[in-house]
Amino acid sequence: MMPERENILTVERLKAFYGKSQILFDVDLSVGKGEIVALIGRNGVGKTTTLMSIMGMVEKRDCRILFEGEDITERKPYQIARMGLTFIPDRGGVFPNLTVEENFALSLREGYFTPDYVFEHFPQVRGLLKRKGGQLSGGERRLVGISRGLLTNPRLLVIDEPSEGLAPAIVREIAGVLSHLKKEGLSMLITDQNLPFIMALADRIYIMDNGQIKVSGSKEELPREVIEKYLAV
Amino acid sequence: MRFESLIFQLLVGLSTAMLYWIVSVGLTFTFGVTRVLNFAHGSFYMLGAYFTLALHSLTGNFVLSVVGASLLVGTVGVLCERGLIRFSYLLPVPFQLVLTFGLVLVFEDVVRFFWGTVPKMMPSLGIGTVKMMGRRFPLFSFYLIAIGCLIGFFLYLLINRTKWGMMIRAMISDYELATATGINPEVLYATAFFLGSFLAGLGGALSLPISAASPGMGEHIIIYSFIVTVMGGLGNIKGAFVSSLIIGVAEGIGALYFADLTMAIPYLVLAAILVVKPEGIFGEV
Ligand SMILES: Nc1ncnc2c1ncn2[C@@H]1O[C@H](COP(=O)(O)OP(=O)(O)O)[C@@H](O)[C@H]1O
Ligand SMILES: [Mg+2]
Repeated sequence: MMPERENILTVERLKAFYGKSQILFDVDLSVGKGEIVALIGRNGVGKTTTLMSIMGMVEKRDCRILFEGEDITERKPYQIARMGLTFIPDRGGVFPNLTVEENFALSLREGYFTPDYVFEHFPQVRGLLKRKGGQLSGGERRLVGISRGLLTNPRLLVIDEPSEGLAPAIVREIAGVLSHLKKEGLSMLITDQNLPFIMALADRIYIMDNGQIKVSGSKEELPREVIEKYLAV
Repeated sequence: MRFESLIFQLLVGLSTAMLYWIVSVGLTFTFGVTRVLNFAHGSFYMLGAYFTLALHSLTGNFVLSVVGASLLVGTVGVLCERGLIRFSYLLPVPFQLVLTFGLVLVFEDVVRFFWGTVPKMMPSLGIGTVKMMGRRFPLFSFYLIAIGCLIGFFLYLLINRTKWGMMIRAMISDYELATATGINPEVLYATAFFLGSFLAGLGGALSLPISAASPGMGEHIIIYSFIVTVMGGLGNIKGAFVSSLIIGVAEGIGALYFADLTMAIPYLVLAAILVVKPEGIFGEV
């Protein structure tokens, strides 16, 4: 047995619904402090729904979600966000009709991650400040979205499909950014379908299919064929 | 046609345009934020007029009464939003329309009960006129134009230069992301409703020196506000300004040339614009 790791997030028996149709069936997952956990699976298996349920954006029943030991199951999205659980949606996490600067101003909360930190580590962001979020390229939007998320000084960063739709070089850049943040001690829960990206980043992996967790384990202990089987179309 | 008459009608048109603008920007703004088209916005306009009359008979001070009445109407608006309208945000549009139309009926009866059905005039304020080109122009029209422009400037600053405005714009562009950023949408809905209702009340208050208050005034103005709002593009503030000017000036000038058609002019202008641009002047599809 591994020693009990301290969890920052625990999801127990999550059942989520859109109207009458049930999307998630007893999903259990946890994220340890300082860990990167990947939730993977094909399109439509329920990854986004899982993240949105954690954020309080989807109707859920008979389940429990703990964040830093506090029960957040019944909390509203903005309350959860204010506790330091920062969600970056798959569309990039940037307000399209606000400038990048305004995006940052709106998100800024006191802490370790400051605008200067962002400019120092992701220098290209500085040149984007005056642009509207809607005018950024896919890669720029990702980078700005992650920077925006950082400025909230999150306890846990939840990112939906960070590599989706990006050119390979940019995927490597984003992977570099996230592994740098992991070295800073930031805990992360990410979903993705890009295997090399996941393998480069994740400590542990949950594989989802049809709204259920089918397999989970550390990156080392999960057989590659199993992962590929669940990701293959 | 004499040139002075044209200028005079232009002034009249511009000043009514400012009333349309003040009221309809409130409507289009609350719609932009809450996505509920509020029929009762016209009732808030009416309440603004009646509250001003009441406060004026108490204080004798017009400016004070206008400000007080507008603040009161803003408060009534928030109470309606928190007490009723917010429960309809997730319901289909017909429910929202029935709900806000119900409010219209309630407010009309309230006004009839307290103030009766006979139109009520404001006692003369003695604001006076200025003489230009051998003709007297009402000073109040100039005041209205100035107030309308000031409100535009103030709204611009509020929406583009304050944290509140930034949050409003953020919520309109991505609701989910806004909540995920820690923005409490309920606070924004309520404050947006305060601002929108305040503007309706202000419009009603400022209409008093021009026309009498009557229980039907809300219905009249809501139709104009709808025309302006649709013409400018739903939820678009700049559009509301431009359309108000177009409608007001078209009415003012039109009265000179097609006196028989004055009632129809706003509809004709709206129809002409929608034929060219169905989504409104600044609307997005
Ligand atoms: N707003 C919605 N209303 C109804 N069904 C939805 C909605 N969003 C997603 N779904 C359904 O929920 C399932 C899971 O979707 P999602 O969580 O987006 O999957 P993933 O992120 O893994 O691609 C899909 O079958 C999808 O069709
Ligand atoms: Mg998804």
